[in-house]
Amino acid sequence: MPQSPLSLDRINASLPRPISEEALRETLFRSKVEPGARAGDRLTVEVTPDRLDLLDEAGLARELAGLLGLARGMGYAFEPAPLPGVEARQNASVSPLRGEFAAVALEAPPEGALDAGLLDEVIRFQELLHATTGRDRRAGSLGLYPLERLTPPFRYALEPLGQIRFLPLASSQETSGKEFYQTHPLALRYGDLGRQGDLVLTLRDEEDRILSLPPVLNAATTGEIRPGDHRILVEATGTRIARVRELIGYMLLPFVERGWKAHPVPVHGPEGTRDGREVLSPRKFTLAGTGVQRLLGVRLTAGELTEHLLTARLGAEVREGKVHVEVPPWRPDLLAEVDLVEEVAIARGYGRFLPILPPSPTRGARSRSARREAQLREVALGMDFQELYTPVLISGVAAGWGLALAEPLALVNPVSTEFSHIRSSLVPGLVAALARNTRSPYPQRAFELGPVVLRDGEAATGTRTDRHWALVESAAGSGFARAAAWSERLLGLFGLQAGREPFEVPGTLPGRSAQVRVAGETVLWMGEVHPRILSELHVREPVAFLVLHSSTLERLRPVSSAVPGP
Amino acid sequence: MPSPPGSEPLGLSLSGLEREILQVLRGASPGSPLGEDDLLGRVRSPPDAVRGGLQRLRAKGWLLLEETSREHWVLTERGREALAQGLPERRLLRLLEGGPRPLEEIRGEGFDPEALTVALGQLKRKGLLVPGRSLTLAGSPPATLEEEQALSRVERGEPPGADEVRATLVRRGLIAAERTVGRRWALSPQGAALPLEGAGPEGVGALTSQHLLKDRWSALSFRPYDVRAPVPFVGGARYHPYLEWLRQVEEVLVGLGFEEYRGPLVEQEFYNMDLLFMPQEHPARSLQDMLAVAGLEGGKIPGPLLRSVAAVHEGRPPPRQRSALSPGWQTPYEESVARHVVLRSQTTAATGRYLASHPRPPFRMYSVDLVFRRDAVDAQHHLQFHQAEGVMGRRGLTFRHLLGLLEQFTHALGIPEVRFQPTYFPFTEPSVQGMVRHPTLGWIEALPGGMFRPEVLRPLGVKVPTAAWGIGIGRLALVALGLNDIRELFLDDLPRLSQWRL
Repeated sequence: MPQSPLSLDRINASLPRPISEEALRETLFRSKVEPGARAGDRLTVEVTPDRLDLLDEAGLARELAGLLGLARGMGYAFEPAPLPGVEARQNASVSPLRGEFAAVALEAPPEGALDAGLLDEVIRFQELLHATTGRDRRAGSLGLYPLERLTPPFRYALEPLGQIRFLPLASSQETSGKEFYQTHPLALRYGDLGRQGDLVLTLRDEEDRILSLPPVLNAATTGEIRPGDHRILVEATGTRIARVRELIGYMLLPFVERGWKAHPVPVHGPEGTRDGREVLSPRKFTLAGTGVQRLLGVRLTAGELTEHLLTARLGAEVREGKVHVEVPPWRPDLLAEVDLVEEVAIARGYGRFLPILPPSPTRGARSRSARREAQLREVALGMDFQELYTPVLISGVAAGWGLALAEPLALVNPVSTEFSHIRSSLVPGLVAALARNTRSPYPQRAFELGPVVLRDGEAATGTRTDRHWALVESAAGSGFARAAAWSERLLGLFGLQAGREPFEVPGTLPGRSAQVRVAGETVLWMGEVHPRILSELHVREPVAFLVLHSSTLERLRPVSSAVPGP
Repeated sequence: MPSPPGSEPLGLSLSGLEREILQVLRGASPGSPLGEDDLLGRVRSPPDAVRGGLQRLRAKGWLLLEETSREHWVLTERGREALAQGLPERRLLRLLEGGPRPLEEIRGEGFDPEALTVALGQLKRKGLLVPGRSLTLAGSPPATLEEEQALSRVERGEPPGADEVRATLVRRGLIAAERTVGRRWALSPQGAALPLEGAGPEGVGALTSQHLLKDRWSALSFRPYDVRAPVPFVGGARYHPYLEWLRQVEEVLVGLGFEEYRGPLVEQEFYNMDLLFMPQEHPARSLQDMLAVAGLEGGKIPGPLLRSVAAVHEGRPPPRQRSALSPGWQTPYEESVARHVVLRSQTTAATGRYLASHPRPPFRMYSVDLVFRRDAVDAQHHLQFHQAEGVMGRRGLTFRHLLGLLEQFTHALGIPEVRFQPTYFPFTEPSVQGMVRHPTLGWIEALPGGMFRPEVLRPLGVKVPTAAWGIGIGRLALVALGLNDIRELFLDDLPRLSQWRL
């Protein structure tokens, strides 16, 4: 889950009154935040992926203030009018590469300006958003610029690389676009996202100065915000407009919570002009008490609902009997009525919901196959076979032993060679277990009942999951005859009239393996493991095995609830 | 602890012979073992029977055996023949005592050619023959040769003598080295403490079928045993403790009215993810997190269900459902992604399949089954683990019922404390994380759940509130079984499993 080290001082500075770390931790248990270790002033917090706003100090303080009753309501309004002349043009040429663009203009409160603390907070939050919502800048990325030192309108376009002269952020030397894309570490990492052949994305101002090469890097001077700045342009580019708006919505938070005003930035694009208010406007919902009661199981009046929504730091008021809700731009997780219901539940506190037992109109039951399997386990235990639990994923080496009727499927992306194939038989895993017991006393007997995966051309996945039951024995004198004797016992137990047929199982001694078929289907197969495998594994005594296709048996002889007879 | 008078160790069933052996050794000098031959002479039974009794008593831990190994020399068959008839060189000396004789003449008298060659070589080497056409002695023949002396010593059981002579005799196949093992027996401390005095050797130890036949037992007296004496280890097969614990979990769920359902291990992403309203571009769907299966092309997905899920993902549900649904993920839904074949990463895939075939309420389903994640294996993580998944739906079901169910479930598992925290899953709203108190780790996440979103239920045709939960049950198993490493859930040490505490 996303996490970030946040400054406790800055959190407390954003609260109406400071709180202790203990109170902070206890309060956060009611939220989607998991506080972790503290190092100095920094407390690492982890949040659920839908609440990235809580990974900013201002965002976390806002949540805490609501839960502690120190503040309520959305507390957000934007300036409907753009700053004079501050607008942008989006060239049609960007569409195939990174076709979405939006921006806002931020204005510091009177007597205020960007300070070093806010600058650090914003830069850290920006990188976090790039890594999460931005999907490492592939889906979207943000840029912040010193609006006072720029000349609008701005132009987002695709330009020939040869025309570019660029002074990268944190550099003192201007470079050609070509050299920048060939040498700069960020260009090597993100360059492909902003480049199409010899064309690259640019953001320029009216004086034709490059502000940035999206989504790679800002320019020095024109793309560098500093303490003391009063006006900041925030823009986002991406492949989907929803993601671009999400990014800007999140980035509003640290500024708006410190009293900055947000102005829309109109964007003139190939499909017309957007006035920029859609980025800043709170989204509106109505919430019915009946819906809340239906989902949460508590009856809440419209007034109570409103109180909880205000605690959740949303806008809420009752009009004409309905609760009207406003959601700020940094809460893109709230998409439908059910999301608001959860906000009500969190604000009320999960601890205040009295758990009640649901009426039980159904009768519980194990599946029929599970009841058959319980019988098989009992039979195995009665024959003194120890139950084992071995991994479904086996190594390529074990897959190569055979001891199966079908080849195991391979994984495309195994983590290690030890777990590279999906077993089609339980026997290799059980033989491997015997190999780990060579220092234990003999005789050794083990069984497993579990799933195997087999190819099946008729299934949509091309596979089917069957259940097998396998016995293995390693002992002096063990061999095919032992396995055959087990098969006789099983056939008798399940009342099956069938005999053993010669059948070569890979990985067994030739002529010492067999199968039993019933109604044309293989139900049992058995054999004596080839000494080549046993030598390789240093197993000291011969090994016999038997496999029963539990799924097939259940099909042929469904388990009966009647008491079995002799 | 002393044994009761007149009793003997449990399972001892001492035969008269064994009792006699123990008494002979007890009568010997304390602390000094008796040689086996000496012991055989003192016990009134055939040597083979006594040796068997010694081994049985040793297996019971009441005797100690001290073995010593010794090398000595013996005459071979050829050596014994040479000693009886004379060495070949002695026989040749005898033939030449009457004067020189041609070699052909001696050969003609039947002297074995091989022995003659040896004899000539030996006499020449010792300087007892004069070179010439005839065989002539260089002087009076010696009364004894050193080889003859050496053979006599070996016959007496003495070492053969000088290294050079010994090597010659070995090379000529006349003597050979033999290794003998000497055995000395003594009472072990346990054996020394055995109570032998109270019961006579005529008492019967083990009851046998022969005793039972024709009521012979009624004429016998049976020796009492020392019921506190050590006994042999008894093992035996058991159910695997982890799997047995999982089955107890299932019993709890059955008791709560849930019916079992199992889904396939290999799934299409449609069931593993899409049906649960997981966006197709979600990071958890990358090959970094899921295990994909090679060589398989996913087949067709039922058309109506596919179209319905696609509409919800893209934010274009049927008009009459729009009010309750979110705008979706607003990305183009790709059927090719939905068809991908992977090892399922959550049992919620089974829930999706179940609901697709059981949309009518009321329903309660559980699945305790395997899921797979692309994690490196360490003490905390494994690629394969069990999830306990449950879903219940009926008219009037609410979030509080879910909390009640989770609370009852944890109590039934013997976990007294649980508290609930908000969390997030793409497919539930509200979502909840049940935290349970671990004796040393404190509160740990253990019970995730929530109310299914309309975006999940509508395409499946489910029209009632539905609660779902999916527990990483392995974590609870570690607590219940007292383990600290998730790899230990695969424990396959047969002796340890056999002795696992109940």
